[in-house]
Amino acid sequence: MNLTFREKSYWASLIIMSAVWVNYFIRVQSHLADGSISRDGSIGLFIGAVVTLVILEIVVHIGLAVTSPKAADQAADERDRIINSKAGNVAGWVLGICVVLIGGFAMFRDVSSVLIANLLLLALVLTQCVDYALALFYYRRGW
Amino acid sequence: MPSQISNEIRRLRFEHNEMTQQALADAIGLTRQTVIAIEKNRYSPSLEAAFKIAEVFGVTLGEVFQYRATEFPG
Repeated sequence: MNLTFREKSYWASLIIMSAVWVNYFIRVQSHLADGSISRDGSIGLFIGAVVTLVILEIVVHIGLAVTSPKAADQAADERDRIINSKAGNVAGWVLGICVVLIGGFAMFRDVSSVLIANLLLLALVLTQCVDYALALFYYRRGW
Repeated sequence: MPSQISNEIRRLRFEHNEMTQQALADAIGLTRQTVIAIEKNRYSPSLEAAFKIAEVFGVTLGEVFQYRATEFPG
């Protein structure tokens, strides 16, 4: 399979993001379930996840660039920009729907700010995953 | 959905000293994968890119790309 540098980058980011945030949300959910989550605890888990995400993204993308230096330096061409735009458009809808649902949930239920914050974070992660997945689909199958 | 625009890029490349996809991509400012997608009718290039491709081969736009018109019910 002949992947572009951008496809490899999207695959790497999708896998890293999924792994880091699934781990984070599993840990948060277990704390929420037994009532042991505090705001400070949640912030600590969040910072840990972000640091892990950033380090993994940097290391993996340096590796990709080292193995394909010419491709890494190449600017996005018209097809790359169209795919990015189309995927981002759909991802924007996903984010909007999620935020509306979360807002509605928050208005009608007595929920903690920690839960709301994590639901919004989940919406952001889901949106980004949809963005990457759609871009990868468009690269392989067109539109 | 397959494009309604077909092309002769692969044949034209071979007729021009067996030009590689990478060489064509470099000449028109696109990636090799985009050239591959164009040749396989999975991507229709912009008008500017289409003109650049025709210019590389020294032919008219119509000699590179053909449009298959949709038949509308009468």
